[in-house]
Amino acid sequence: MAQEASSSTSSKTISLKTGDGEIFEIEASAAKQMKTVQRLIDDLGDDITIPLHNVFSKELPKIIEYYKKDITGEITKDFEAEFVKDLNDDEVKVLFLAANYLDANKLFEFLSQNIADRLESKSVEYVRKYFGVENDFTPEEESKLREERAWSFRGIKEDE
Amino acid sequence: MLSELTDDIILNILWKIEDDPRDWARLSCVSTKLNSLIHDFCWKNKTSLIIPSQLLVSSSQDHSLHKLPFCCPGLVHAGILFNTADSPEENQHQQSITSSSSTPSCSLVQQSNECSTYWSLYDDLYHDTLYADSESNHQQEQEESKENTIRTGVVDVPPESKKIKVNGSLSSHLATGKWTLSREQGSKLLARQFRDDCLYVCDWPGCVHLEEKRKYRVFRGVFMNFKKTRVWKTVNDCSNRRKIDLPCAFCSCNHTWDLHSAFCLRRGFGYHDDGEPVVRAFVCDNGHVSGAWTDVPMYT
Repeated sequence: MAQEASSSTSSKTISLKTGDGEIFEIEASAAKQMKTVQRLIDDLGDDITIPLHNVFSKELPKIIEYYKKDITGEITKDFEAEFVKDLNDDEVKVLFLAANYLDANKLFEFLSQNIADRLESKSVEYVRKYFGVENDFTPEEESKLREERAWSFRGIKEDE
Repeated sequence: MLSELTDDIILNILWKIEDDPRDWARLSCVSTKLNSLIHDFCWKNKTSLIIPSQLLVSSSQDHSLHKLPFCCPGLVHAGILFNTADSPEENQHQQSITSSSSTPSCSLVQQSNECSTYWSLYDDLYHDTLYADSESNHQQEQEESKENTIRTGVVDVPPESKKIKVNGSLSSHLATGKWTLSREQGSKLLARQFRDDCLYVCDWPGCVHLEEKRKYRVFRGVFMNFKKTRVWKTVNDCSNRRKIDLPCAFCSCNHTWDLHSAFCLRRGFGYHDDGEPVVRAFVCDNGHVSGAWTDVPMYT
């Protein structure tokens, strides 16, 4: 009955509890891909339910879905395209922040690329709205910047 | 959301938007944070890969230098739309056309309306402007560039209103062709006595513009340490006759020097039948050069 030091086998699952109190199961090998989770496992042991205060039940299943595919080596371009296809900008942002918090590098890189793709050719106002930033230039500064960059405002497709 | 992200994370996203230089240029208008990240990291890194290091080291790393490899000055700043004749009416014409501010897009519309009684190159050029896209560096256009396909952009000019849509090919815009600069290209331009001046020009053929009359290979470049060059001494010593009200495409200089009439360009290029020079180039006080090559006339 003695526990071995590293008793995680590939079939072992870890329990994760979201910030809004829901519990999800994940394979131990998938949990390993999320460094934050792995650190918590190392600290708390793998028999305990790992609390993830900053991740919620809306996004965690999606993250688990991604890593389920990852551990079986099934992540393809098609899968990734499908994964984000129906996500709106806010949903991508939430997933991105969660991946950042979980230190889930592969998903984080993939979502960074997806955000970059969504920002390409977009207007200044769109990007401000997306990142939730205010225009903190003085009117003179902004006018000068836009004048210097007038060349870059030409030939750009309109925001959807 | 931005405030929750570290600089590294923001940069990670920004690096992934580097294919089209216009994105970084516009993103730097979003906020002071994005502006400083893009300036200090993105542009600095990108230009270190395409601008020769001697030029980088001797220049101030401002947006003018960052924009030079990627930004075609357009027909406006390359002086192609500039009437260089010396008659009083035409002087007045050229004053009113080019004394526009450094944002030619709106002001040119107004100016050309005022000048509608004069014949000008505008009338020819605003119709059926073709924008050639050869040897492009754009990733998405790599297949096309092998076949040298031509992108057609027609500028609509409703004749009754004379409201002219100044599209990308007339004022400054993203350059087609190569985004690298070389001294070799610059040295092809200058007369022999200026061979010690370092002029870096974009690699051949520049940004090709197919106009009704002829093809212009619009180029841009910059002198290293301009105020120490012989070209500077030459244009500066000449009377103000050579200085024209043609704003620089790359900085806030409102006037430039005509290198052709200052005899700084290599001899023998000659003129076309209609009086246009085969090569023209203009330099501002900061050493930014805009100009265009045309094909040497077959029958002279």
